[in-house]
Amino acid sequence: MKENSGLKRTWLSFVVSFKEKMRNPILVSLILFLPAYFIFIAGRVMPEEEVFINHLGEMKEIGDVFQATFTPVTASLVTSIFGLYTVLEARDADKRLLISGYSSHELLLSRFGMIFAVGVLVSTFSLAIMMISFSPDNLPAFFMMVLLFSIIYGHIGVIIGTLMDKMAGVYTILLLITMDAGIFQSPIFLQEEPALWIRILPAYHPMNVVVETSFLDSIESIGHLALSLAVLFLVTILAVYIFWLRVKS
Amino acid sequence: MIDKGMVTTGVRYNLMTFFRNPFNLAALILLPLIAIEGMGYALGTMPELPGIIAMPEEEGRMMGALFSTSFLTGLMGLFQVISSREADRRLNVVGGGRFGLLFMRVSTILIVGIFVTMINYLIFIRGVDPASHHLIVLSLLSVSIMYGFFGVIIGVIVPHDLEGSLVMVFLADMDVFLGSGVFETEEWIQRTFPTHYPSRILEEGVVEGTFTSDYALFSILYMIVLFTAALSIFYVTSRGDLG
Repeated sequence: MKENSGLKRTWLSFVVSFKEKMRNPILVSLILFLPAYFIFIAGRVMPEEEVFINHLGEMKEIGDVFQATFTPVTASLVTSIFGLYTVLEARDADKRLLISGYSSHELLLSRFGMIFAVGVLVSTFSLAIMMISFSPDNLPAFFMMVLLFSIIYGHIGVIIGTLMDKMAGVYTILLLITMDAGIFQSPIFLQEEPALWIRILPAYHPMNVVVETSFLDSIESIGHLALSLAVLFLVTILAVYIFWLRVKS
Repeated sequence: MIDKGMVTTGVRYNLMTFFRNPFNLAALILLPLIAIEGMGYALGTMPELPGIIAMPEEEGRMMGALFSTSFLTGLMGLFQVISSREADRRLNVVGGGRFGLLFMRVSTILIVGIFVTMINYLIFIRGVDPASHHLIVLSLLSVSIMYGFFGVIIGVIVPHDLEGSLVMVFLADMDVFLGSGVFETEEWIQRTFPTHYPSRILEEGVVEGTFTSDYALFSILYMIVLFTAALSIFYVTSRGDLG
């Protein structure tokens, strides 16, 4: 009985927060429009040249590669900024909910549920826009990887939001995602075997799987997939722990 | 009528608030270092960049410098406007005046912009031997001022942290990848991005040291348009807020 009411409260908190965000037309349009605009424009303006993809050992159209790799980047940017502000803006609300009888794990579920919901929304919309000019060979797996990317960075946003204020936090998120997912893991920019420090960044394994699902029917590097899930697991554990510590304090 | 004393005090207070925050200071120094060195390293592995006269590593360092200079000042402008709404209302009541307040915010952004420009310049020249230092400073400073005005415009139109941050993040990211000229894309689209002309000046400053007046002219025009837009939007919207 008690468990049911706990679940109900968690669901209620999630629904109220979600409705509150979705009732803000500016926020909804930005969440959907900004990644879509980036992906759409990129699809239109890329030069008709080919680039060698180290991981696949073959040449691919630069526009296709850019869209395939920047769809998860844009989805991650939105989810991560959302994760950051989930922590920064919900501090007072969380305190009030705790006083009114919510437990810390109910709050955790509600807040992380919000990040997941935004991740699903942005990933779906970004993918739909990308498919106007590029279709990945393994669509379901590609979508799952875009979602995985956004959740990993959404949770990193939570970690950054707990440690920094908004200005340093937004800057760090943009720099981290742009440098890691956009530059270091991009087959367009990095044309040599990645150094060890690049291989331990969060986007390394997921980006390899993204490239495979974009241009191959099946996932051949099961190791990259397993390590992508491990990255998600580690980042989630860390974000949950840091958020839980903050709620407890 | 602008109250000089109030503006000076306001600017000093804003700067102290900004520089006292250790995270802001760390961001000012560490993040440009990561952006410039990181992009220089990654693009340095590319064999060649079609249509680009600089070496790939130099091009990467240029991308990094433009990116960190623009975004940091833009973000500063954005949060200056958003977080100062309440304070502005109070200052207006005690006689600050709308233009006095705008002048105070813009002055703060410009001073931080100059600081950001100098840090990025010093990090940038560690790895390149530029043909003209003046052109590099000119380019970075113009990007910094443009994005400061962008920050003001976005902060007035989208006066919420989350929404404003999203717009600024995407503007900076699209600009660095599509506007800086690293890809040989359609010229008219590149020209619409704010860093396009400053990136050409930067490239000339690194490689040839020649000064093409058109690039400077268009950069200045871009700045004037942004300044006028920021001024008009602030004036119109603040009528409701400040009375």
